[in-house]
Amino acid sequence: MEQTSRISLRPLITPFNMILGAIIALGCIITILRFTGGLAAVTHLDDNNPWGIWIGFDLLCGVALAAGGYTTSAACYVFGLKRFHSAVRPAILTAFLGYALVVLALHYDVGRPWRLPFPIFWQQGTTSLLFEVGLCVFLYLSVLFIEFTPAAFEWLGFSKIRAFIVKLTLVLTILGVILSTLHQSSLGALYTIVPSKLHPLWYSAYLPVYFFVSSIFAGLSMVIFEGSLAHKYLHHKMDDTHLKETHGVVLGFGKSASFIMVGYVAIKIIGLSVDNNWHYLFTDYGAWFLIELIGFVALPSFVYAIGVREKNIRLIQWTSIWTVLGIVLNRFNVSLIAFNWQLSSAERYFPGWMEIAISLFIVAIGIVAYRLATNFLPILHEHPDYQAH
Amino acid sequence: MNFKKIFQQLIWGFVFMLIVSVLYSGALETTGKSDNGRTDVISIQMTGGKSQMPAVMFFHDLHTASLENQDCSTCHLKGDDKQYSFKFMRTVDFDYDVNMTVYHENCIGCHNRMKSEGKFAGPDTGKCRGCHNQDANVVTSWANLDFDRSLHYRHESAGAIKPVSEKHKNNCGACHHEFDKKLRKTVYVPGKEGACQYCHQDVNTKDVRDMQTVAHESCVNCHLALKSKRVIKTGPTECKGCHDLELQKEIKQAESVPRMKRNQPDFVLMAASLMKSMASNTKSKATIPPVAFNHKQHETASQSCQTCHHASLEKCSSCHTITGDKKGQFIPLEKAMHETKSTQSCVGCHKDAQTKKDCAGCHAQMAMGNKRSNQCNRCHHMDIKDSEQLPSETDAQVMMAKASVDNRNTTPVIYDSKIVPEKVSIGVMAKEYQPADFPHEKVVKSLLARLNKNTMGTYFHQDKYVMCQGCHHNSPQSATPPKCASCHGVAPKMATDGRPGLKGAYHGQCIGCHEEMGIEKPAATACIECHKKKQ
Amino acid sequence: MAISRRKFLGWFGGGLSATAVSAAGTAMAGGNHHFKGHPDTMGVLHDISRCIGCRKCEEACNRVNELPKPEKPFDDLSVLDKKRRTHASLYTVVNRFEVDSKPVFVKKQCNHCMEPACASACFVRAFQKTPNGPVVYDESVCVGCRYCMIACPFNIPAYEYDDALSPAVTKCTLCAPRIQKGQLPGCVESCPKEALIFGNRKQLIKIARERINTHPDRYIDHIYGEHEMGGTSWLYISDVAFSKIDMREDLGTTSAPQLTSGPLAAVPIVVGLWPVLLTGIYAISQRKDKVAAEEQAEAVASAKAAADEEMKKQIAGVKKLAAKEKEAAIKKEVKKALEAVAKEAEEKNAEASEKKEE
Repeated sequence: MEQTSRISLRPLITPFNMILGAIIALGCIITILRFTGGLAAVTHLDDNNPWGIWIGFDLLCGVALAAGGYTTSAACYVFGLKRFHSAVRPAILTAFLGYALVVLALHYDVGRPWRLPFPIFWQQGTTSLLFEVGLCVFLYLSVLFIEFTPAAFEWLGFSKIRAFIVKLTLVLTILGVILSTLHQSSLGALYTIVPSKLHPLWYSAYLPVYFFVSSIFAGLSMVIFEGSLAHKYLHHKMDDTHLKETHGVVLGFGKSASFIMVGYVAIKIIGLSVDNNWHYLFTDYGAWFLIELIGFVALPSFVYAIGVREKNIRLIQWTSIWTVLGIVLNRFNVSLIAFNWQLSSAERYFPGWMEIAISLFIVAIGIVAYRLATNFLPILHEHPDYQAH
Repeated sequence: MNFKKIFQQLIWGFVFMLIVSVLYSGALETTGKSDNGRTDVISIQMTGGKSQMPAVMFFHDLHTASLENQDCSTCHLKGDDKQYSFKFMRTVDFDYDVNMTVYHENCIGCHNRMKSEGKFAGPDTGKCRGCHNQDANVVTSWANLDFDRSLHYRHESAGAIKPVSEKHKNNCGACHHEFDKKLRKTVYVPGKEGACQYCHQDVNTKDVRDMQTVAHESCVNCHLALKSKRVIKTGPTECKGCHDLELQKEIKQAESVPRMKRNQPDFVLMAASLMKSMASNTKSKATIPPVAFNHKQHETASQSCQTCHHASLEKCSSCHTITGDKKGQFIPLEKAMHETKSTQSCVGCHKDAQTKKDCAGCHAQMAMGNKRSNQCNRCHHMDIKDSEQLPSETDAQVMMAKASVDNRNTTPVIYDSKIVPEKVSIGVMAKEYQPADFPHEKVVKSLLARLNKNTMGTYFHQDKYVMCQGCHHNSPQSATPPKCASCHGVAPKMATDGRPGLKGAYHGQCIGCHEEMGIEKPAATACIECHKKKQ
Repeated sequence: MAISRRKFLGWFGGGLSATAVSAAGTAMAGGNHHFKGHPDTMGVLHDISRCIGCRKCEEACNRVNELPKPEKPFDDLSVLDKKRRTHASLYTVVNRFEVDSKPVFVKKQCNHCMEPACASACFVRAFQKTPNGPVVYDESVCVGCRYCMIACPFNIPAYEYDDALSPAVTKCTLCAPRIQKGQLPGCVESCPKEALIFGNRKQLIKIARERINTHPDRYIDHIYGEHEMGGTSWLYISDVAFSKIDMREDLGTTSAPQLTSGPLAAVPIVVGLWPVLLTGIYAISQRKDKVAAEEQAEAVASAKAAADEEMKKQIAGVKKLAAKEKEAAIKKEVKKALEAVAKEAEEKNAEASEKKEE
């Protein structure tokens, strides 16, 4: 594969890149405001609403959508489905960048970010589910980093270390699935401590299970979605294997996502039934709940199935966006919309423009990093020297 | 890529969603809509049918108002006695199915008729749940009417209400009657008049119809008849006229209500156990001194006879025997007389009187319950030691009771200025504030004035220093009661029992009294009005 | 996947010791264990029927904790016109409610729960329920994640959002240093009506119960905080329904730590079982692949063998045919040769006979 030896900057000045640049520049300014004026200067957070979109979107959605890493590597290495192999590296890269950016976003939200290592190394609050989240995210980020390094080492030419790490693939994958199960479910479990503040249709003792199961099809859908974007904009970086396997990945992931989503709808209904919350369905929140469950999980599941049967790649790709939006909707519902539902509307939270700008800033950094990585590293193609796989 | 097939499936999916959302929005409609509270809600539910429809919540005043140019005969038929039966379009109840038909044909029929004439009407054919809307959370603010002595007197003295026959001088028979079971009709028996509820209760029985039916039949028919005769001052014919709380307050109170004539005793000698042994011709000692009860005075103190005579005009001990009887719901005499939580008992009514603002200042802060046994002799003080001292004739008993009552000391309570300090300077805790100058004598005088307003206040505080106990509590009665600081410690400390420290005791007693008595000045938060700040 | 016995034992031992170390802490996974609370827990009883809304408690709290003075002074009672909640540097507030056209005043502050949600939620153990009652906050480890604010069912902890570099969570401390010295909390000491009394929590419940029994006409028959959220050190008795004075009656009696104990208990199980499950799936899928490969190889081999057989047969047939043909050809040639010879002989004969005639 050709590697550009000299980088010409002209083709970089595209409208999209200009927008990205503007967002990043704005983000830098707001960063300064955040760390000189405190959270009050930048957010609409208050005593009744201590968590806003930096937690609701950056943390919860970020972690759910970065689940493609463990699902893809589990599919390929644990379940032995070798035909998904070409999807593993992009998924690992996305996951690694995703988690790294989640940690970056946390630096903005938390009051004293320099103390973030405290709960892991200094004083462990083991009764807390947030400790669970923090520990597992920290460990998983390390695992992802290690899983990511072979690509970098191939580029750098450190073949011996690269070979050693590749030998660890299975162990790292299994560890990744364990850690992912723990922290994806713990993110949901965070809200089990507040039955009085979360609307009964979203509150359940099964919250951890819901978050974990939905993270699986979130990850699968993200891989399909990002694959479709990469296909369009980074086509020139893909090798034959990758191109050949793409359809298989889309169909295979579409099929499994569809199936898992059916299971998710079933356990959601079981949860409704166990708590006898049917009467809430006939309220405004009930209508919203049904829109989320039927409109953004059951329907896409059905359409995924149609797409797989008809082998309609386009349909599956559009459905993956639909599913990703459903995941975002669910995380927003749990953390922002159904949370504090009993407060008067004057006391409810709506994000400030600077909060939204920082969230976009984080996403923009992610896009830039992804493009840089796929440009220079053997992510979408195999390195000519290491085509043993 | 078979677009046609996909398209077909999506259409099916869409149709399914449409059906589901239509059903769902229908369900959403039934989320409760609540009213502001109506007094005219009549819940119509037939018994004996297999129907599962919810009751109909019928708004009577709404209908009478919208049918203003028509009279009651639009919906109510007259019986043989030319009086309206306030059942709907019938004089008796039929079978379930027939009743239902009567309702449906007439209600829906009328609605349909009015709609076809272009007028606004209620639910018509097919809109079942427009009427059967018990689940729609209709809020009723119907309040029971208390037919008190004033209202009774206004009826008694009304010229428009004529006596039942020339034999009788009074018009009691116009309402009061007894039921002759043999003749199966009501007859007026003079001297046996009682409250309607003594016989007419909540449910229909073979011999006695329920209160709701008879009250409306008797009262409303009479009001309607008088209205048609253009009598100016007649009672209400609409639901809200009697049953709306606000309108009830506007019912005129007669200025002075003379004593009702029902051959009731002026005084009663209450000695149940002695009377019992007398009746069985045995001699026994009095377990407790009998009570001389001033029946005449108590008549003016209550709303109506039913306040005490809640089930009949007989004496209490005929149902509430000493050990309890089925007739009295197994409530023994002692409880019937002394139950503090009931307004039908003597002690209960007296306790209730203590909630008046004049009395509440002291009494609200005292513990509920009648644990103070030193007050028994306020009522139980007749000097009869055994059944032999008890006369057998009722008239003699009444004379004895009267003598005992007349012997009671009901002079107003006064205190000698010499023993009542004029001002008391409370400076024991002066840290932030200067000592408080408490106008002791002024307060005592004010309390005495309120206390002496009626005989109950005067009588129950005859013991010399009982009134002082209102503030100087939990100590022996004396002209020089102990200082508050004797029992309430000065230093702030942990709570080990319910007793407040001195600061809490002063503020609790003073502010508590002011709040209960409705005294707005000094306000509780106006600290400097009682003690100025230290500079 | 073949691993040596040594390796297996090594991993197993490692896993076991890791579990043992983590379980060595307070391992009370289930059963009917019931924490009855520390016996000497102190508390405060707030008698709402006594509160007159004078705000002396707010003033005392501000003074005792050396907090910045607020905009409006504490004797400005117009502040009560709006409902307030605790805020940064406002550890306690008094609110006024109109119930049945009468004003009711309630003081609100941290309830110092028996099993606090904030202590359970904090991932650096910045909150601690001390044995003698107060739930204390350690600012020196707080990271500022604000999960405690999410978790508190009474919405008490407040945050210093304005502070960029050292924001802290703020809440009532039950004057922990003062009560250590045997003094009363600031608010309790300053209340003129003794609407607040401080003492042993069990004793306060007895006092509250007796007060309710002595004045059943005045008090609602419920001690708020006796069981709510597992019990709180701050108890309330009231003359109006609690739901009318912004005190939630739907919180239940399950403590917050109990609510999260289920998910937390699942963690070690996942750590124990997932490796087995996943390795098992891997092993099965490997085995499946191997068997599939073997079957494929076998199928290929047998197909090849069948093809060989077939080929051999064909060759034999062809050989036979060739031999036959060869024979036929030879025969034909011989015949031809014989005929040629015969013909030649005939010709020779004819020639010879001709010559004889001459």
